[in-house]
Amino acid sequence: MADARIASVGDQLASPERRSRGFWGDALRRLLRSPSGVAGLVIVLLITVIALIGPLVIPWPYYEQDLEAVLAYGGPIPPFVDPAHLLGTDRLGRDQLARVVDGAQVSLTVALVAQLVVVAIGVPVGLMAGWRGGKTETALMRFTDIIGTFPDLLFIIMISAAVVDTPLFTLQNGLLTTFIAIGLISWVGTARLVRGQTLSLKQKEDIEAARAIGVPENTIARRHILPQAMGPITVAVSIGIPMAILAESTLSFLGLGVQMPRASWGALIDIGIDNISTAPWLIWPPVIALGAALIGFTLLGDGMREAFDPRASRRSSRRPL
Amino acid sequence: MVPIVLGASIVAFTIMHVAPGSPWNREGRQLNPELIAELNAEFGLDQPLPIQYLMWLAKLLQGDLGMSMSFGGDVGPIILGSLGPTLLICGLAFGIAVLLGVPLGLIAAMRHRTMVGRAATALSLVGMAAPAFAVAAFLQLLVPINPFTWCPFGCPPTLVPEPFSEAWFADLAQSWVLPVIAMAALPLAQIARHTKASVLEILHSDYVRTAHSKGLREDRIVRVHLLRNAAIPILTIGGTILALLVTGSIVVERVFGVDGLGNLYYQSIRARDYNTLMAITVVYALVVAFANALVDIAYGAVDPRIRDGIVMAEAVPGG
Repeated sequence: MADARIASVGDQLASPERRSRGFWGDALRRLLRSPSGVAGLVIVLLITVIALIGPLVIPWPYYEQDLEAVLAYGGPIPPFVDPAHLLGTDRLGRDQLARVVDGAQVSLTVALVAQLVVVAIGVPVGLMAGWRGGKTETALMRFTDIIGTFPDLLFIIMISAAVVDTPLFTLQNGLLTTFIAIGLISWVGTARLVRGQTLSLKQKEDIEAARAIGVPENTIARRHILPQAMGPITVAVSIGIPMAILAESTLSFLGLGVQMPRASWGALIDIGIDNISTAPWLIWPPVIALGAALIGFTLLGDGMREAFDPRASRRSSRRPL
Repeated sequence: MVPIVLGASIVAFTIMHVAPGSPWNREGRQLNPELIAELNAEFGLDQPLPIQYLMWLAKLLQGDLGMSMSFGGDVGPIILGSLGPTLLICGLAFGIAVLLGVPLGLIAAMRHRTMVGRAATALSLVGMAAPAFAVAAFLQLLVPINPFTWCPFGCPPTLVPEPFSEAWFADLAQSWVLPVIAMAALPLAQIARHTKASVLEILHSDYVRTAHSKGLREDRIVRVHLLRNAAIPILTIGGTILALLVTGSIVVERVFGVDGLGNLYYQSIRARDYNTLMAITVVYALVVAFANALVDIAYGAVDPRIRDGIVMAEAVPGG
């Protein structure tokens, strides 16, 4: 990615007194200098590490039943905790810690794959609408508006509920349809953003120059417009991740998302509510995990936005009167 | 308004009819083929899809929402009956979110870099981690009685206390409070964060500096210069808030057993009750269109430049 063009954008964005390290380098430095960005990054990395390492460390797989320790106590008072199950077990004797860790894997996977689908649909649609203009633009943006004006989750729930009893749904324990449902609806924001970026980049001198020397239209869009729009796209993706996690856990909570034996925080919260009087310890871990993930990704998204739009961050960091 | 209703209904119609399954062959129900053919003919499901949609649309224009395929009876009364609880919960949650969220964001911005400001920022961040079902779960831990046992909404009529009696008020307070809190948390946090961001932006603007140097009183600066200008960016998240409320209602109504629109939406999708689902989609689309119109009117009300068509919303100078 680090071709000369991006570097020149980086030069424009960097403050005059220090040397630019390229577009991405500058953004990373700014991200690491903002406290909220670092906090978000730490939380996200922590969750990622737990999701990756957890299953190797925890002696129980997320699906295995320990029939000698059904509903093992997992409350906050240490002496009564079963050392084999630190967070207790559920009605089926499954280790809650292992299930929450599996929920982390599920959430991260869904969030990332759904964002891939979002980028794969949203970027081409926005780029084509902005670059071609005319009838293509009108048609594509009308379509975007139709999907975009209605609350996202209503369509996402509709798609998931509509496929819930079908063979497609049982593939990958519902993961696949969850990706598709979230991705198919959430690309709208990205498409609008990319179109807006394309429209403003179109006016710039370098694009005009590329046209003047006869670079083919499609090549300009791919090689010149797209790289310059990567910053905002990155920000949009990082802001979309907490939304995707929220959508996934809502779906799973409603029983429309990830299915047994895989665990999802939303499904675990549902189980926790059902067992609130008999096993109150089950509700805490998934609620806290989901909350931490949402906060972490939100903070990271904020940090990314500031890092890629230094103008805005400099303005808001000026001391108020 | 018309494009939103048309668009949303076409998308909903397509999703539902492309998905496998039909209203008649759900699990645990075995109908013989002749009966299914008869039902399909009665509801027009034997027609090609575009014809079906046009038939539905033609009936809608005559005010006929059709028969429900799983709940029995006309769709209209079923939806009207479920509208009340949802509107009440969403309305209360929205009121709380605005009345607490805007001041919280204002404090977070005005007292930026002080302990109070940081606390307000932290509070709104905690709210970001509070989707409706997580709050609902949390509330049930705090409340000693399990809400499922005191039938907040689904009580049979004989169990409903006499209106305006003491028990009625107690019941009302308990049964509305939890769903409303669960619904309000996330929108509140969103509003607070957005308010903070836009007030911070304006706080550094030249006209606020001028107001300060003129020696204007703090509360006047906040009221006249800050809030009015910050209202524009805050209004832009109106759609997001509405979406949170609508989708939150589906979850909250299921947790607390409310017979509202959200619950009906979920059930009608699962039951492939096309007519009910399409009618709810129209209701949601109308709500969205209405909210958009309200936001547009509010833009004009807070900013005379927009009312007079001098600037577009996005051209309002930020700092």
